[in-house]
Amino acid sequence: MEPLIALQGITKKFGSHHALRGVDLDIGRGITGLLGPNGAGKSTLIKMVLGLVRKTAGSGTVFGLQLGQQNRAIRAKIGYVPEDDCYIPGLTGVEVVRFSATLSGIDPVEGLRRAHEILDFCGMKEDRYRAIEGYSTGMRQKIKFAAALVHDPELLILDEPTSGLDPEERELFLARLRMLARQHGKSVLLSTHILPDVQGVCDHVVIMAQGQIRLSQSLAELNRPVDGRVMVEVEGDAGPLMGWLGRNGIAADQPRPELLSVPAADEAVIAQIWKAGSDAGVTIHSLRPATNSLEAIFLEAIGGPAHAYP
Amino acid sequence: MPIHDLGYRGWRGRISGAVSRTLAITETGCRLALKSRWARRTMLFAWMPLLVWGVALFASENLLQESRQTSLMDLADRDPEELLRHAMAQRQIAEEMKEELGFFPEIDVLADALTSDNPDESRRVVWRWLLMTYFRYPQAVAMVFLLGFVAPGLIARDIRSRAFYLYFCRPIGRLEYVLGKLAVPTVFLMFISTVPALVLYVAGLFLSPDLSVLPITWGLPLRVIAASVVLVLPTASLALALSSLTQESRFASFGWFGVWMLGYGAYWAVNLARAISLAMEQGRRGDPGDFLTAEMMRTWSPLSLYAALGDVQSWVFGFLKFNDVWPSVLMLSLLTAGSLVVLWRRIGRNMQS
Repeated sequence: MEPLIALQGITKKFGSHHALRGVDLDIGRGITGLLGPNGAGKSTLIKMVLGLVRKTAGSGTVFGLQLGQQNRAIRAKIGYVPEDDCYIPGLTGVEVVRFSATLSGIDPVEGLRRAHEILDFCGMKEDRYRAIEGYSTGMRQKIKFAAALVHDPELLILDEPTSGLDPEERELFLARLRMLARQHGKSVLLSTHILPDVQGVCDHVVIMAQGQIRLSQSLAELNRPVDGRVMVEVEGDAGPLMGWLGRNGIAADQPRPELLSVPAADEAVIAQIWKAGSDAGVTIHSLRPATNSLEAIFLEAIGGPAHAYP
Repeated sequence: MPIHDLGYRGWRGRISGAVSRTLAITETGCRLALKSRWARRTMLFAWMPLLVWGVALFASENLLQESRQTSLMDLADRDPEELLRHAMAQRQIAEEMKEELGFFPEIDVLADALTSDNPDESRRVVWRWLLMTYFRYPQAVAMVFLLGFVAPGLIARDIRSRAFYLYFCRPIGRLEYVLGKLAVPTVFLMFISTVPALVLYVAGLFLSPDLSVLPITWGLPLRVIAASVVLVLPTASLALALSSLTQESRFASFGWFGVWMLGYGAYWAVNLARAISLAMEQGRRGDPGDFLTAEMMRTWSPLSLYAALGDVQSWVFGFLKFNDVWPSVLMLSLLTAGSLVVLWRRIGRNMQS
């Protein structure tokens, strides 16, 4: 299947600074998380996809349309939620969404109907009739999301959409995203710093650092067990258990007081761990294959310290 | 969750073209501008002078008609000596008009026309003069204030609130944005200049004693439209360029009023200096204005946007020749082009920021 976004060797320079360095990336349907530290080039990449920034080198397509040549056609299929506040002072919430609809080419009367429909979906109640300057951060996020969704785009590009939302609103927002992707076939590119959001909703993860793609993989792949290690969770302190294992030639790590990461190449080692628990008087709560946490994967990808723990 | 919650529903409908998107930008810009109380007041006051000019048009039409009928009777009844005295009296009136009302532009042309033996020519000149002064005085001043209230926020507000994303993440380009924004001051200026001037023209036709005025003045609506273009293009471009240079609309307001006041001040300062210098050369005393002719003052018109606009509008209404106003035309053209370049570049920069 043809990817939604296909970039080849995309480079962007601002003066002598390389914002993007030869980015090769394919993004398919579903929800893709775009991760990276500040200055990694995420926002530049998004603006490049939207055709707001001209590439210095490279080529690419979005929905099969040429980047840089068919930008308007590309933008017609995308709904974008920028990280920063963006609104027109003096307009009410519903007017902003209606205005977004008319800017997308929807008839003004139909645009108003559609704006109300989308605001209902976003959980925006009577506050939609208030001037947007008086909105809380969470309300503004809802308005930005509604404005991005009003023309029923095929792809949603969301830049830090959950920042400023309280936990309940954040959960509702992520549930809406899941619903849009699973039930309505929308694709989503979610740029965020909040790793649990990515873990919770994404199908695919892209990690960027220093203007390069460091990792692009499905979340299912990333969640595969790490060969040869098990995680042992105990009640209380796992120190005595680690000491026992060490005395028997098994070098374990202790990422948290109650948790050990143990190299366990075969069943014999597993049996030794159970025995160690019994001998050291430690209650073992769980023993399971180790998986890489997204945080660990992220840190490793951007070049920081990496560990294998949940 | 409300019982009527329908969740998300897709949308399939007709998507209109770039024109409707541009109009959407204009409509929202106008709606926001109308929220300014001062803008609404200025628009209301801008229509007031229409009454004065309407009365002037009505009075001049009736006077000219009466004078024409009297002249026709006189020709038949009076002897040549009396007719000569009448003509000399008229000439005297014309000279006094030029003397006393010399500060009005092209008053000499009007005075000559009023005392002309050709009543059709008189009417043509009177109508043109009234419409020209309507553009040059009340509407030009109203325009400065109205754009000062409406235009500074048009782009500055978008920069401050990062509303550029709202526009440019959609199938909208810089051209649609610039045109949509330029149309906002255009709509307001047309409302206070073109529309009332055309209303004045139509009202004048109805208030005239007969419809013989129509074939004499049929070209005036075209001149009104041309004068509106002259008024709108440089002023709207400049106002938007100033707005695009800052995210604080008050700075754009200061810049806008500053351009008008400084330009007008410089224009008068230079002319005053010239008059004083001429007075010293000629060793005479008196009002400095006595030493300056309209031609001399026109030399410095490009210094002032107000004076330059007035000169070009006089040309549009047929009172001046192109040779008299080309420096002002050049200045206004350069100002328009420069403003549009600034606007284009600033919007491009903000699109990418």
